[in-house]
Amino acid sequence: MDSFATILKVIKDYMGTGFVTVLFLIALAYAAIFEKDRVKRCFFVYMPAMMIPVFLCPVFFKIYGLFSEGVTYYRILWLIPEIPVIAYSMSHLVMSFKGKARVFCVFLCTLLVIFCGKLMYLDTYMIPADNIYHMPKYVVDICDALHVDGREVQVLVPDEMQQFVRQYDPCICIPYGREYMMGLTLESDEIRDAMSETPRDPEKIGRLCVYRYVHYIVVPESMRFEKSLVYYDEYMTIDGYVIYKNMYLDTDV
Amino acid sequence: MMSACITILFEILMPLLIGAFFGLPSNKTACESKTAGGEKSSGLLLTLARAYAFGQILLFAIFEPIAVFGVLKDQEMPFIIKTFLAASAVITIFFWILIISKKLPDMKGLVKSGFDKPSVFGILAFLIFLFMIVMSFIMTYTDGDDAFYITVAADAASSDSLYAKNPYTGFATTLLFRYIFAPFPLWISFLSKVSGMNVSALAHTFFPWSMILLSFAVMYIIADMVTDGDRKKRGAFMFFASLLVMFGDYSIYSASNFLLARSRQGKAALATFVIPFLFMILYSSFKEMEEMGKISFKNLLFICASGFSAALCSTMGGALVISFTGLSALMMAFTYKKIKYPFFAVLSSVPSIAFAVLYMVMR
Repeated sequence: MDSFATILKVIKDYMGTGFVTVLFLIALAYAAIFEKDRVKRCFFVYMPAMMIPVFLCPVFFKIYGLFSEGVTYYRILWLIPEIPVIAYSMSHLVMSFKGKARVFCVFLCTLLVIFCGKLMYLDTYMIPADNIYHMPKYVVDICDALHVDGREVQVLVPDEMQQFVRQYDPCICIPYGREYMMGLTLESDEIRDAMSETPRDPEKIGRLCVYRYVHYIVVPESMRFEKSLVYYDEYMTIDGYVIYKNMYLDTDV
Repeated sequence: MMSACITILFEILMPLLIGAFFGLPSNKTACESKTAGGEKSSGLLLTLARAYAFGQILLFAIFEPIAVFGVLKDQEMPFIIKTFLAASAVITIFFWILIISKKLPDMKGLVKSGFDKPSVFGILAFLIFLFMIVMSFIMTYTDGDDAFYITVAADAASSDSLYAKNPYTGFATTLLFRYIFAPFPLWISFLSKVSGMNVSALAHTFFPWSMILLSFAVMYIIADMVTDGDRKKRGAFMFFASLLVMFGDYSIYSASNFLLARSRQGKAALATFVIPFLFMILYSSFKEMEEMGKISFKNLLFICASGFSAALCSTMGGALVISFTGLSALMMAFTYKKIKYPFFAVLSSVPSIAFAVLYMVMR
């Protein structure tokens, strides 16, 4: 993809629905027409207007690429004071009216913001917190059960737990990390490959895990191993997850 | 409970103490200008907002070189904590000596004057702000990047090692050059170490509200400056700004999204606190050029501090600060037909690029 196409894609992703960008451009035009103060014009009109061509310039994109990856180019758009420009123009507009007209104008502007934007708390990934750690309860319970004071233990966890475990308890190590789940590495991992096979081979998994010093294996109850795992015994079940413990690797300090 | 109180103390008191010099309304002090930074208005809320925002920028700026030096010199977390606390203490004492030697402003009068009587808009903005604070405690946003950033902080707090482990697995790794020049996770680790609170609890529950507070403090200062202290206009500005933040989920890259969803990451601090702060300082510098034909030492100092703070938040942060300052300086030179002070402004933003250059050389 050439530079300009990448820039356009970054803009498209940044704008999202695009309504707020339209609102911003209207606010910019409003400030350009009605604002007479030289300093305010510089910050609410000229500066944002200058930032846009700078951002679109492929040469600037190339220079940026020397320092960072193209995917973070959207951060340049943070330099455009979108919220101050819209808020300033709206407050200027509202204050230019009096009495009922002002109330109507506030109502209209509020509706415009609500319609153009999207409430953060309705986002799919925004969910009620289970606890003070803002982690799923099962992660906290399982980590607490496996934690050993004064040493690290290695635990094979299912994909849904990968991103949480080490945030909560850095003394727990994981044989393969989130980079595999996200495709951030091209290397393969034998344990991950073995866990992904259908049907899974408990003997192979057991041998691989003991070879890599994995103390515990955690799987959802629905994926419990039908045949017994070599070198591992079923240890306990917590919040719908079965934990297998290695019979030979000790977890003493 | 105890650790929660200590966290709140560190998150609020430290910036207020070190930033008091820049918050207190004192036209007598050497580096305060008459009009810069909303000096005309002297409400208690504005004083607190200024002290808090200026103080936090200073703390970030002090932390950045110490943390990078610590990582490169293979030091451990206690080194960073001790050095940072000592440096902050010295600077805080220095500013308080300045405050006292230049005679304390009428503190009684300031406290007595209390908060400006809020307008209806101001009350609405405050309610939205409170709602966002409450939601930051009871709602959570699952973001995969936390698996890296928060775990780096957790590793540093638990084993004192700095970027020595692969955060995804916990195994030893070579130095992660892409990240070590923007050690924002170590700031979270620092707060966790001094308060004794679990890193995860701190980052997800006790950090977001302080970022929202910081972001609104800067927004309030900007509102006061651009509305020339007009109470009603300022309230309306804050109302629409807070509404725009709350309804900012139109894109995952918007600054509002970062503030409410990923406030514990350095990128969020950059987008919602450091860049708006720089905007405020540059606006203030323009005002100074307009009214006095020069930029005060204070503003040049804080352009520099913003650069260091931005570098703490993101490897590209320093470059963003230079770009923004450069553009403003260009505009300033054209507007006022003067080169000297715009040049000084750019010059004061240059040191922050050192970290990005180091990254380019060492990667």
